[in-house]
Amino acid sequence: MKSIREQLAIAVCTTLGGIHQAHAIDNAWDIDSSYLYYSESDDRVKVNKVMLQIQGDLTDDDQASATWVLDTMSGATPSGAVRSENSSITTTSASGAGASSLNGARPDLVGFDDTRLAFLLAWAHKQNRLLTVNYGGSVSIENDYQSYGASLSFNQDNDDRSNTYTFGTSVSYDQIFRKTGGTPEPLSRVEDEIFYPDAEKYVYEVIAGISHIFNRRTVAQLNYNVIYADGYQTDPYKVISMANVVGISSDTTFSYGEIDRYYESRPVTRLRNVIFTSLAHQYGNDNEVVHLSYRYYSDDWDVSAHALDLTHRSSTGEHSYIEPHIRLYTQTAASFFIHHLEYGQPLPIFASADYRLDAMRSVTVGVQYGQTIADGKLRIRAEYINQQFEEAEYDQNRAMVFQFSYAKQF
Amino acid sequence: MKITALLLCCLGMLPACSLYQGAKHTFSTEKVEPWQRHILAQDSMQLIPDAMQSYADDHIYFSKEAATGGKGVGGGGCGCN
Repeated sequence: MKSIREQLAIAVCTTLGGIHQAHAIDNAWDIDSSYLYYSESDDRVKVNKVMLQIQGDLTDDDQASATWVLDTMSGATPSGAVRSENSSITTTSASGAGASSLNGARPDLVGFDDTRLAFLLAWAHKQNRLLTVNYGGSVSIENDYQSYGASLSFNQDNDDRSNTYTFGTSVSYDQIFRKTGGTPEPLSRVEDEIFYPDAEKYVYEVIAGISHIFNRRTVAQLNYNVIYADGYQTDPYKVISMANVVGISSDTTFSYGEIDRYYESRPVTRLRNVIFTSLAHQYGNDNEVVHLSYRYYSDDWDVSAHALDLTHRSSTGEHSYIEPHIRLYTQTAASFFIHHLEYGQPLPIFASADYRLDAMRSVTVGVQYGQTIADGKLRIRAEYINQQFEEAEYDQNRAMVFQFSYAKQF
Repeated sequence: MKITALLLCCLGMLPACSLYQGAKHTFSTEKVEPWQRHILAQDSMQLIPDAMQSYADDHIYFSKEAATGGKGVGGGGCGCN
C-alpha cells in the first residue's frame, strides 16, 4: 500500500505542470503539533494533552487529515458529597483510580488518574466547483469510557462564493463503565453496592449553517445545532449526600452532617439546541484581526447558557503577533441539580450534585503569542479560567492553561 | 450651562456613534472577487484560525460546563473529570 506521500508524488508528477507542481508539493503536508497543560488550583485536576495533526492533499479534489490526541489526567475532583467532618461512608475514587477508597477521609474530593487516547480522521472531497463533501470518523478510548463516532457534512457555495451553506450530521456510540466494570444503580445507596452492566449512549447531531463574506475584510457565520443524546448520562462516580445542616458560620456558610450517600441519577435523554455565530474582521494597517463569537445554548434539562468570546490579534513585528483573549460564560442550573438530599424526604427520580450542572459564571482571560520560526508557526498561550458556582459544595474552580503549538508545511 | 450640557450630551453619544460607524464599516456589503480575497485567505481570518487551540478549548469547556456544541458535528469522547 502506497503512502499518502507516494500517492501525492505520483499525482503531482503525472498531472501537474511545473509551477503548479511546486505549489502542490509546497502545500502537500501540514503538520501541527501541540502540548497543553491544564492545572486546577487546590491540587485538583491536572491534564497533560499532546496533539498531532497531519493534513494533506491526496488529489486536486481530496484533502485528508488525521489527528491523534493523548490525555493523561490526574488529581482530585469533587465527588458531589458534602464536606462532612464525621462521615464514615466510603467513596470510590473517580475515573480510573479503581477500587481504592478514601475511607471517608475526604468524601467530597476524590482522587483519580486516567489516560485517554483519541484518533480523528477527516476527508474532504470536492464534488464539483461549489460543493465539498466532508467525511469524518473518531475513536476515543479511556479506562472507563469509549466513544466511536462518524460524521457527514456538505459545504455548498453560491455562484459568486460569497455564501457557504453547511449541512451536517453525526452519530456517536459511547460505552460508559467504571474502571472496575459496570455502573451503579442510579440513586442507590453507595454502601449497598448495587451495580448494573456497562452502560451505553447514542448521540445524534444535526447542524445547519451559513457563512457570508460581507466585504474584503469581514466574514461571519451562523449555525444552528441540535444534539440529541439517548442512553446513560449519569456520571457513574458522582454521588450525592443525604445530610442535615448542623451549623452556620458568621458568613452564612452552612456546615453539614452527612447521614447517607447515594449515587446520582440523570435523565436518559437530553435534547440540546445551540445557536452559534462568529465573526472575523481585519482592520488597520498592522493587520489587526478581531474574532468575536456568541453562543446561545438551551436543553431540556433546563440548562440555558450564553458564551461570548473575543480575541484581538495585533502584529508585533513582521513575523509575530500577540492576541489577548476574553471569554464570558454563564449558565443556569439543571432542573435536578441539588446540593444534598434532605433527610426524611422521599428520594427524587433524578438528582445530581455535580458542580458542572449548577448555575455558574465563568471568565477566561488569556494571551497568545505567535511567531514564525524556521518557516513554521509557533504559538504559545496562557489562560486563566475562573468559574463561580451558585450552590455547589465547591463554589469555585480556578485553572491555568498553557499551550505550546508548532505547525509546519512540508 | 447649556453649552456644557450640549457638550456632555455630544460626548456621551461619541461611543454610540463610534460603535455605529464601526459596525457600519464592518458589515458593509460589497462583492468580493476571487483576486480580492487575499486578506480573507489569511490563516488569521479563518473562522477557526487555530484548529489545535479550538479542539483543546472545546474539550476543556465540554468537560467543565453543561453547555456544548455549535461549531460543528463529530468528535466525541469524554475525559470529563
